Amino acid sequence: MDSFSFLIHTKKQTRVQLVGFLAASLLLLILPRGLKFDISAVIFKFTYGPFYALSNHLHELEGVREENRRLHRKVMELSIKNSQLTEEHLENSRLRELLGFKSQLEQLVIPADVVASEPNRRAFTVMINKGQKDQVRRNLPVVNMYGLVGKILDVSSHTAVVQLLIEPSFRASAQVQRSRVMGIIKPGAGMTLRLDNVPLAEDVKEGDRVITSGLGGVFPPGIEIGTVVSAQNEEAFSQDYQTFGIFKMIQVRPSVDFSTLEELFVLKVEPQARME
Amino acid sequence: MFWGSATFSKILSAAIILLMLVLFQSLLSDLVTIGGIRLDLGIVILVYVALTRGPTYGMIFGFAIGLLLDVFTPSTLGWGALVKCLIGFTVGSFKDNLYLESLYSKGAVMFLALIVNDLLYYLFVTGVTTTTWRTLLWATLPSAVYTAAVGMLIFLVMNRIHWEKWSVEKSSG
Repeated sequence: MDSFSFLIHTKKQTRVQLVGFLAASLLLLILPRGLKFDISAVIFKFTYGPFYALSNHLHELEGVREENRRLHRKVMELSIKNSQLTEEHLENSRLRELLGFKSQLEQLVIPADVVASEPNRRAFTVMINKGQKDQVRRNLPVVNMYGLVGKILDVSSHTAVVQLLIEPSFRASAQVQRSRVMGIIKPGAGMTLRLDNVPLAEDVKEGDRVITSGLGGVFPPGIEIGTVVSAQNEEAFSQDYQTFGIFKMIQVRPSVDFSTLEELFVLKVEPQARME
Repeated sequence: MFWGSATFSKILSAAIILLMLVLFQSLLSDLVTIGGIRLDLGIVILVYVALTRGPTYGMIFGFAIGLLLDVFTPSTLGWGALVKCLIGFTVGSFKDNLYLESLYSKGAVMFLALIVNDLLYYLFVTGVTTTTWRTLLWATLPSAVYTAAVGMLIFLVMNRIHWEKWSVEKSSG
């Protein structure tokens, strides 16, 4: 009890102030979600806003030439790939028609810029400059040119918060592109991911690409998530992964570099595809 | 006159310190991140203020710093303010009860403050899961070591500045 004697010896005025601050914090906590967003947006605008604007401007100027060169090269690569894909798409459409499927997804892309990233070591969310007014809503998938970034966690009228793949509570249904083995993608240690719930007998190898499976209804199928860096069966690791020797321990390196997110795309996914 | 008063001077000092934090988080935070390990300047400032000024300043700064960082996760707005307010008050209260002259003691306080801060955050946001402990181990622990080390350096510099200021005042007075 002696350890807490400081509470008794603290001045009454200080104790009252402490109660006041704690009450203010609790009041903020129980506010409606929308109001919390508005308050955060106002504080952000008058504190971080000018500095982030300056920082973004400097970054833009700095990287513009290199980005231009890189994009030119990318455009070349993509135009070649695009012509191949167009061919495959036509073929796919013909086959789907034969099988009686309708188009699986109608995707509209909403381009957005990252205006702020969580500055703590818990860099699990980023804020983008598109919100409800741009038809962004909760749970929409977010990607960049390298693959899946995350999903929309919260939306206000002009901004939205993106929950990154590495956020501890993030889950997505995924599959190995080569062997079509299904699993659940979860955050792993540090900046890595884990592909869980893959039985020991399944075929997963180092270097395999992991993509979204489309199950669960949040993420459309085929979006790149990352590459398998290790797939082990050893029971020694089972305890740690709480798999009890039933599942593989698969570590995945994400395709996206979460420390350098700038331009993102929100996929306005309208699941229309149903088997007829 | 309010503008020349001690109260105004205190408010101005607090505003400058908080502005420094905002400036750091906006422009410099990424530059001092080493291999994904981030420096938590908010904790360093909070512990410094609490240890030098006591519990009242500790809780005020804790609330303000927490609120400034909460704006990045609006859904938990208020939680960071509450946790940092309590940390500031507790550290400030122990100011006179503990022997904290040693630089290492101050480093240890910063280390513990950061661990408690993150632990309470995760317990509130995600609850107790395997991932929570994993994140604490891989993200919080290295960051706590890094922050404590940099914080000790900042304490050293600040102590030297104070000592030199005191010496000048003493020799001129």
